[in-house]
Amino acid sequence: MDHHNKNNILALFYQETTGQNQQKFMQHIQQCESCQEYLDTLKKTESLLNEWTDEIPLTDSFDAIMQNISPIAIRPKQLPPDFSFRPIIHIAFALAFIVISIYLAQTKISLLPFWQSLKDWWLVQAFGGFGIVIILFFCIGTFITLALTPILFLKTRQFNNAISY
Amino acid sequence: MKDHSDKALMELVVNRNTEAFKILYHRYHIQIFNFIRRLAGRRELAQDLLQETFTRVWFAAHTFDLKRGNFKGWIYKIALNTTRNEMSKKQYEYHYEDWSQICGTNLEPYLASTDQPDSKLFQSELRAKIAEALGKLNPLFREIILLKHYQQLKFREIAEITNTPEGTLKARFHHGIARLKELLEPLEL
Ligand SMILES: [Zn+2]
Repeated sequence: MDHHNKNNILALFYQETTGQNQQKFMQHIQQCESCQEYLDTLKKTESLLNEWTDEIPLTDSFDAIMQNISPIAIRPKQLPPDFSFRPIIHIAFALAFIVISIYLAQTKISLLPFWQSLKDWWLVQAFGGFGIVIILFFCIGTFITLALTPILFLKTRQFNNAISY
Repeated sequence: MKDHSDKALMELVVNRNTEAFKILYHRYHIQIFNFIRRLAGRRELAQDLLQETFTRVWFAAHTFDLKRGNFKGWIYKIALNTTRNEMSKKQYEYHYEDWSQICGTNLEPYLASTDQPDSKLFQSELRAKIAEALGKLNPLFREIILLKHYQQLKFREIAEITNTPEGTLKARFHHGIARLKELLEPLEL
């Protein structure tokens, strides 16, 4: 029996047919053994599946759902955060750390033998040794960021997919 | 508000009305729970995913097509995708660890109608066998059989929920039925 016929039986069994088709097909089924057999399988499968009746959920999840949605959705207005010096201290500390590391790096580099010859280069003369190391730091930083971009992009996509329904 | 249509309730939910949301929850939670329960195989997991589904309903309410107003199709789509996501994330083996729980509820009326002493055991085993057989199906076949048989949706509705042509769904349904017939043969199908 091909799918076309089986689809007709499905339509008949689940009452998704139009009147005229239904009558025609009913007549066919009367004489067709394989169609009858399939209809029989559907009936038997249905009655077996019916043995697994619906269950009641273990608990009422509604309160838990309300908790899930309340921090963002229910609170009428977002309160402005309290002013704090903490982030300013953190930023100052981080800046000082970066400046000191760049300074240390510059002192080390200027001890290397090639530094004397490099000193005559116009770029070094224009920015000074400290300036050059700052540029170097930012170049390396940019390079690392670019290298990580595809990974970060994929992570973000995954996250977005996970929260969309 | 209790006799409002789904569509009217969703209009209120879009405006962040929790009372309307609660009514929708109570209208749909049992059927959605049972759909996920049979699809994912575990009760505890189904409970979590039910919660997740309704949380998504709340947050995605603004994307609901109020003009068409087909809430049932929309929530089944969310439940299906939530369950699919979870199942693919953790590479679940579909199995029933809690036979007694499958068999625990709704047994009494059946038992009352029979006088065989071992019928409770028989009934439990029967349910477990059905659950096991459904678990052995390809997840796509299982989805269509659950949506069609237990949730009693039309093929046209399922096509919309699963984003799959009706012809493909019917072919999957036939395969699923053939496989179930094989698996349930010992139960005198
Ligand atoms: Zn035929």
